[in-house]
Amino acid sequence: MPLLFPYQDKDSRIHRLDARPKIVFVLSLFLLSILISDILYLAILFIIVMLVVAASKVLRSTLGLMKYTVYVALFVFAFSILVPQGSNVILNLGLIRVTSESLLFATSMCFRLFLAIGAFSILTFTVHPDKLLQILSKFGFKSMTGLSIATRMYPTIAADSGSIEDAMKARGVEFDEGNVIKKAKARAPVMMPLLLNSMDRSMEIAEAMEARGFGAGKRTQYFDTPLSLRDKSMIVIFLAAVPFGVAMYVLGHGNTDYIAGAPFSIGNIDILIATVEALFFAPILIGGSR
Amino acid sequence: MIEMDHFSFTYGGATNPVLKDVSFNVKEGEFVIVVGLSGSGKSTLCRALNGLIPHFYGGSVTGTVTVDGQDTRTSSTAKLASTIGMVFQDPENQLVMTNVENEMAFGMENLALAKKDMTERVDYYSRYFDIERFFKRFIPELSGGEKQKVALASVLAMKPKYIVLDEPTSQLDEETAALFLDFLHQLNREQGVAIVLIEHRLERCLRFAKRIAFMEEGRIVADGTPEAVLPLLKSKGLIADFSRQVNEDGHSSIILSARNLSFAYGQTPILQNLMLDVMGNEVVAIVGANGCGKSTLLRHLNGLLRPKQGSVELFGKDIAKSTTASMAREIGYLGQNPNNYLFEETLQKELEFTLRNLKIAKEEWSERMDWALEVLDLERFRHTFPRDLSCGQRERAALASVIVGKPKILILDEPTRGMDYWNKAKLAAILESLKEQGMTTILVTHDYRFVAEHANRVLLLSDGRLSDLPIEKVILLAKDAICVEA
Repeated sequence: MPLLFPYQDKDSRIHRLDARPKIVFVLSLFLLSILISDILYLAILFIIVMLVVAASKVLRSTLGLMKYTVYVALFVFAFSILVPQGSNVILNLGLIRVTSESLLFATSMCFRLFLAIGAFSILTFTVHPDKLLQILSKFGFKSMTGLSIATRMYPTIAADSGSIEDAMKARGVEFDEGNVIKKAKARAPVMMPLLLNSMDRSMEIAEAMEARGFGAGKRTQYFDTPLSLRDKSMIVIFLAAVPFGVAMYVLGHGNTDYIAGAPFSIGNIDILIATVEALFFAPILIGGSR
Repeated sequence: MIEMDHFSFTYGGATNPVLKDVSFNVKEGEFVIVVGLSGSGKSTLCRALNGLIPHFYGGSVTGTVTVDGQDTRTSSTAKLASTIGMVFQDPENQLVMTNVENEMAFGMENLALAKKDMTERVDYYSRYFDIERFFKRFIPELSGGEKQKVALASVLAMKPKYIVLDEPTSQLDEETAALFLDFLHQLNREQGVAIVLIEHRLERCLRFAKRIAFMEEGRIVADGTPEAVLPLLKSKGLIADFSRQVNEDGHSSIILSARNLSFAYGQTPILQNLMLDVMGNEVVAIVGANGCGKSTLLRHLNGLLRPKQGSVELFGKDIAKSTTASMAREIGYLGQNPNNYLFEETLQKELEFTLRNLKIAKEEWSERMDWALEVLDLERFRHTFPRDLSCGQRERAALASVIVGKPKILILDEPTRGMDYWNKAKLAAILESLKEQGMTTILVTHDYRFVAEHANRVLLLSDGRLSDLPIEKVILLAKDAICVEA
């Protein structure tokens, strides 16, 4: 059985923390990473994220995820070199001109990217999908129950498709003959029984849910753990990072426009503000209690 | 008490009623077994008891059903769920959550129970059902028997007074089914919950049955103690005494053989230096414990799986270089789920699909189709959507889509799963007739009785190897499993 979830069941302080502060952490960080363009700010936030990843004991998997992001980053750099912006040429190879504006912009974009990947890997690797669904369903997303069933049924449907292929082969359908298009075409008949099986299943599931009282009225929650004071405080602090970041941004700290020719600079005041911004996120390292 | 009073029901769009003027009561704490041929209205009866009919299915209803005084026409199924629970056939399609704990909580959440009560009940019932062991496991990774137990535990945790079970063991192998049925009996005695059980493994239930209702063509034609009902069931072919009817002559030379076959899933060895010889014109059965690799072995015989070591020879030729599809004219294969074979608009088109893929000359088509439909007694369903057929008929329809290619060898993976005695007898007759026409059958099953009555040769798969199981021994095992006392 292939492991469906990327979730990693580890015992770390971050894993022990309630899912809700973690979700707020990731969302606030994500918002800021979209807003902020200054490389220094992004770099300091990135350090915090990696510290949290390390504390979650999922560093290896996160780096594995980032390996793929490197390709995207290379593409961003290639693109900014091929379509240069600005006039400050630092390398001229005739057709290809590399400008400092483009390079700085690409660097800032990549930092954003890695920051977002890092933040979301905390979510994927440390929050069990069931927990995530429970929380989302509490916000009244009815379709979340559907999503949960989809997660549950995925392996069944995958197995179904395997045995349908077997059945087809045994009736003379050649799957691995000819070129790619021919192979893809040969697989088309698999879709029909798969679809019909899934439709039959969905009716049966609906029936079973009804017979177990789904839709009778208000439901209660089995996993209704109240937020502790610590969780609540964390949520408030993570949320507060957003207005603080926005205010600083409006005041001109963190919104460096590299395309317009702004240089990369490290001012004392910026180091201070970026550090303060990152400190808003630091409490997550305290984690949850045993 | 559940009271069904002169109840009739017709599905929307249909003309004939499925239930005809049925009156049927279930008292608190009772254990009722409902039997009947497929298509007699058993499943429909189940669904009428908890209001799925008419709420979920629509259709037209006359007469009433009341559950502890609540009329099912006015109370929805979801509202009735705290009084009457239901367990369905396919364990796969009634579990909605990802792990066992959530699954057990699901129904109670729907009843809006307080958290404290839910925790207590999850605790109690998981221990009572002995499912704590796989409490946190991902549900799709559980076995069929485990899943069905979880389904039952989840329903019982809602503390209904009545539980209706619609052929709950039909997807389980014999041993697991027997354990499940015994457990149901224990549940009825210890927890006092009334049980209405639809079951085709009648022999298994006779040990504890106190009341059996027999349905035929939408009516309950007999309802009483096993002693009173059994003679009728015997005359209708739903239960029969053991009798071996195998034609032993006419085996020819070896047509299929496996030499030193070894196979492993990852680090787990499944087959180890396995040897197999299959003669022409025989019915060979392979038996063995759950998960011992029976299906894996079958899938090696026509190249659906390739061995790590060793070889398979078909008519003396190594199949290593042949694809499954290219062998399909010689060797037919019917997997466990007949639905995987049925997707065309009509049964005839289903057969044409196979003929087209096997590149059989067009002139032969109609003759082959007539022959297949006749052997399998499906002529009248030629223009029916095959998925509308009953379970036993679907198994035969899928078989038709395989034998229409007239393979020399037929491979069947658990062909009797979910079948009642009547359908099994029918299948056995079909295999016998195919044998007479020169076809060899290799089948895998848990059903000792079926092989004791109908197989030429029985092989036992254990520790990755096959060994001969003498027919006398199989017959003993079969009789053990039946234990008809009446």
